[in-house]
Amino acid sequence: MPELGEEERRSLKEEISSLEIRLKDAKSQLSLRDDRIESTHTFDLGISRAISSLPPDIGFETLHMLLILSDSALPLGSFAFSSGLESYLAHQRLSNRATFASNASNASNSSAFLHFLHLSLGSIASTTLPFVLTGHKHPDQLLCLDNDLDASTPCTVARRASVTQGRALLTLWERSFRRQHVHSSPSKRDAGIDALESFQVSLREAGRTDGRAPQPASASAGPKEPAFVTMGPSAHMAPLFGVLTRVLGLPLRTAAYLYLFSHARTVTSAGVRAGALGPYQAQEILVGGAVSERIGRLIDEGWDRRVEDAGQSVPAVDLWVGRHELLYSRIFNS
Amino acid sequence: MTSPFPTLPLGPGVGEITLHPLRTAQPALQSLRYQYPLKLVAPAPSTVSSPPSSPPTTHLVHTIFLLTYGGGLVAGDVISLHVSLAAAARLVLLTQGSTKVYKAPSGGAGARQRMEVALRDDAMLCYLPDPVQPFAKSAFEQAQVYVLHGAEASLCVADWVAEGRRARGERWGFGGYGSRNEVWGCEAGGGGRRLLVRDNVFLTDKHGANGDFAAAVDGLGAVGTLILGGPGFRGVGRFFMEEFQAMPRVGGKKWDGSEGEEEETGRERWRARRLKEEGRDGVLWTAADVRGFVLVKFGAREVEGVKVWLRNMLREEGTVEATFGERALLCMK
Repeated sequence: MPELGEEERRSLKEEISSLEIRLKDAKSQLSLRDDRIESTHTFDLGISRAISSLPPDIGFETLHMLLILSDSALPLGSFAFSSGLESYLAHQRLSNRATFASNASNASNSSAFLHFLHLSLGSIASTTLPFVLTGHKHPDQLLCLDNDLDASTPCTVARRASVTQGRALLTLWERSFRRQHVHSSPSKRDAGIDALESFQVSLREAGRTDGRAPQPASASAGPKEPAFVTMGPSAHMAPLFGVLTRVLGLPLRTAAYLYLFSHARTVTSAGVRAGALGPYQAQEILVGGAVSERIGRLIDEGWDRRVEDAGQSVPAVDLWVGRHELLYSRIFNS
Repeated sequence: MTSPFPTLPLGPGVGEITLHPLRTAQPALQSLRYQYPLKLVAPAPSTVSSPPSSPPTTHLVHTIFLLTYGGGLVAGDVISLHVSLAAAARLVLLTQGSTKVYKAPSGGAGARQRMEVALRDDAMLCYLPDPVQPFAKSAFEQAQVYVLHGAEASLCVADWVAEGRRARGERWGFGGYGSRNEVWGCEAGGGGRRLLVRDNVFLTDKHGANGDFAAAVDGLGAVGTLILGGPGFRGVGRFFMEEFQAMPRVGGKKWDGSEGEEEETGRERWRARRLKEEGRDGVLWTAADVRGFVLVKFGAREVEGVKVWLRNMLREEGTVEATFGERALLCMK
């Protein structure tokens, strides 16, 4: 390898010091909250490429949680969603047929998949990652985050996917995680637990009074009350994911990495089932440096992005996901 | 330094449109002010009569062109427009050609534009502009914020962006672009306001497609959003939803009606023709009900394709022309 130039050396040093600051931040956040987590080694996957000098160790408790949450058998129903992949492939086939009647070979299928995965990760990071991060940092804003994400989700299919998994996450909390955490340290209860509890209360109340979805036209039979006053929470995935991972003791960057990794894993697994990839190809893609590097970079870029500034960075995704409803045959729900 | 124009306390690029009832029952243009580089032009309001079925009433429709000197924005331009619409006000906002954004010096600030519209009671706004056309190496950011005071206000607003100067081979070659549309609901009696719809799209160096904007729009030449809301446009929203549902399935067998031509209704014939045009122009679109608003996302191979499609849809449904007159669709020509 050639010698590093002065310029590169300096920029690398700057990067290292900024990463160290973030690491310190994450650690202090962690130690502020919970005495339960003894570990001082936060295994931050998002910046693992840059902190190889640190012991690659992780507290068993956090590791345990991470393994549970990264399991594709986690009952969130994620396997039912392809995040627009199925629609993308269908549109791809359509335009191939239109231009140069090529019967899509395996190779072009997998390169189309890689292209999609790249765009899809960018899209999910720009639209929802800020909600994960803010949910983790400020669980008390959960209701507002849920409302704002609902307002920012421009298509029926994406909403269905997000709300289905968000509700599943809540059920998972209630039935599997809650008992242990509510009783573990009653004196120093995490704000995230209160947030989850009160969110569930308002979700149930909303369900009792006006049904699930707001009814725009028909509901205004009574007094002329604007529909927007009565709108209840929806339970979108991203903010709940942030709050839940906080409660379960995952550091912020780890939670963010887990969120984007799970997305990549879900889309890749959908790729296998949609016939775009072989199972070994799928693992090769996930293991390959491109995915982890992309996730790390997206976390860095989105780290300071405010919730108000979340938005679509890949407009084509909105079209693909929205038009999923128009597919002639479907094996996924999104 | 004191301003040489003390009677006009507007900053550069600031504009103000106020449609409030004066003495007459019909809302009149109470205020129309602007400063360089923004220019607002208001032709005489037109009178539009209601559809023949309802009791014969007429409405005054105001039209305002949003212009900039030189026909575009240069780096450093900041436009800030405030629009206030009182009860019964009907306003059509138009542009005169695409909003061009010129090349920004590298590293310098780009151009920015912000429009805030307050709609009271049953005020109606129709804003179907030409696209923003950011030239290569330009930087632009805009926000359109609509504040509804009460659930009776209606809006039909579009926001779209084109790839640049196609003739010069410019294809999404700008440095950065961002546009957001927000609809806020304000509770009567000055209570808090709640975000109802947010449509934020940005194409910047870092995020998403890693600067490959042509990939981020899947090779389309123009993409955008149409937002329909309020009682005045509920029918239009429903129309888009129904037409979306009636689209032929992707990847299914093509039923192009060549065989078994049974009696088609006028609507079906129109749809068949439209679908053919959509195929020709590479139009892709979707419609979704978002909390009582209908959000339509669209794209086409070229600007012209979007115009043909959107004009066709809105004319077939009819409400926009019936409510605002033909002029409302001027930019779609």
